[in-house]
Amino acid sequence: MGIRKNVTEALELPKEIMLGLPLISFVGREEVTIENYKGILEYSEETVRVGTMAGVVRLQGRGLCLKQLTAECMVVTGSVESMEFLS
Amino acid sequence: MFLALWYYLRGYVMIKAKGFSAERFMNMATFRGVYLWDIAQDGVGMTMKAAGGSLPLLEACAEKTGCGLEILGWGGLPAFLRRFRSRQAWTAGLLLFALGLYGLSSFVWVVEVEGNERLSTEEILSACKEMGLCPGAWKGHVDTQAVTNGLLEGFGDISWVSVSIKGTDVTVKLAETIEKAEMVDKETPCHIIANADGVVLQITAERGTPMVAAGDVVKKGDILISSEILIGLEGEQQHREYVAAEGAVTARIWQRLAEEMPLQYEEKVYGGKEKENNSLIVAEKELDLIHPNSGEEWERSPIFEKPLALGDFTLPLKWKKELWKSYEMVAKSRTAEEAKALLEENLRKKAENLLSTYGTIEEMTVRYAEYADSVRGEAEIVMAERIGEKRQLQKESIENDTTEKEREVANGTI
Repeated sequence: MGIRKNVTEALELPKEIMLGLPLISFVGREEVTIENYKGILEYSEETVRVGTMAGVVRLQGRGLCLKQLTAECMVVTGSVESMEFLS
Repeated sequence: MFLALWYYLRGYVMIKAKGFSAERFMNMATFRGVYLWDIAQDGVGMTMKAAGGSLPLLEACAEKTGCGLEILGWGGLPAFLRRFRSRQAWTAGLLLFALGLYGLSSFVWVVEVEGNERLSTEEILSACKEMGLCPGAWKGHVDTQAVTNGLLEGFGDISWVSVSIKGTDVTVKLAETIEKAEMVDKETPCHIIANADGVVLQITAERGTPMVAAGDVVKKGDILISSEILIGLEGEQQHREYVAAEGAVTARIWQRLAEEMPLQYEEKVYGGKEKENNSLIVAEKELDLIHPNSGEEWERSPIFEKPLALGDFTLPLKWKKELWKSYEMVAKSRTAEEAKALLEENLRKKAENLLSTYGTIEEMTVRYAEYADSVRGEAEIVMAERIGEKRQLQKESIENDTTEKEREVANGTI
């Protein structure tokens, strides 16, 4: 893992591809796109927990909805209040 | 966006996954390549949408994860169409509408002419109509090339024409040739003759021989400035030449005008009622469904008339708006003095209309004759007016003259 990371950093390669890290992008606070996730751990209107290589990502908010769900990418819409990395 | 459209066209199924392991179900389904969207919490379960074809796979996933799966309904285009399978009349209507739209749009509805300045639009439209291009013509029968050629041949003033069909509108764009300057003919020999009887006040001849002088009495048709000029010194052999006479002759002329004015007359008195009236014009015919009471007399004055259009699409309908004013004819009478004053005014106006830009009224005397119910005014007007008028010489007379002249010249030299 260490060598991979060093090589990726040295060659300035995209980390989300080389290391399988999640790429999380926000559009304001109403839409979050999480790419490279592993799986959904919990979903409700208030909390979404997603497993990724960088640990468990927890989104909290109101009226959360999974707008799209594919094997690589998920789009969460609603009113996001916080995002945390657990563990 | 495109994904959503694709799944809408292919059809999708709305499902509800119940149980504690709905997340596991979603993970398994997405891992197996099922696209899920619009996932929302609904009480104990979760509702979501998935492609219609993936239902067996979803059922297998639900069984494995121990979730309850409930089909809420089908969506998308196939489901939408399935609903209309039993509505035959509706489908027939849809088809008829499409056919009607296609049929109606294969006719020319509006013909527009652009770029004409001297030629009138009506002239060009009527020429187009003769060649089969008019509102109501079937587009398949309109030969734009033939119309273009026809217009170019029919009108010498047009230098360029383009006929384009866009939807149901036909636009005829044209360019007119440069206007020919009005040539003053200085070549063709002509006399200047009097077009009225009168006394010459002034004569200025630019070209030609003046035949009259100030104070001369002339009759209509007399030659004022002759085309013939003599060339050569006096006492020597002279010869004649013919030129286009040019000049101005002002003369005093007399004119008689008469008018009668009745003492009893009717006048329009407006009743004060004003109403706006809307009507529809369809194919040159006015459709006035709702209009003010026809029992009264109304004077109509147009406010506007405009073609109706849906966006850029001009309909063959026109909306006409008029102002209607109610009036009554009221019998009135006037005194002989009032009638005389009016008569003089009218006669003066008439006389002024007769004058050219150079003419003036020198004197006007009106004699009145009073009758029982009317007054008759006879005016004698003295006017200073240009009376010159060009008249071309008869070709034969010139030729005869020239041959004579040549003979004279020949004799002279002998």
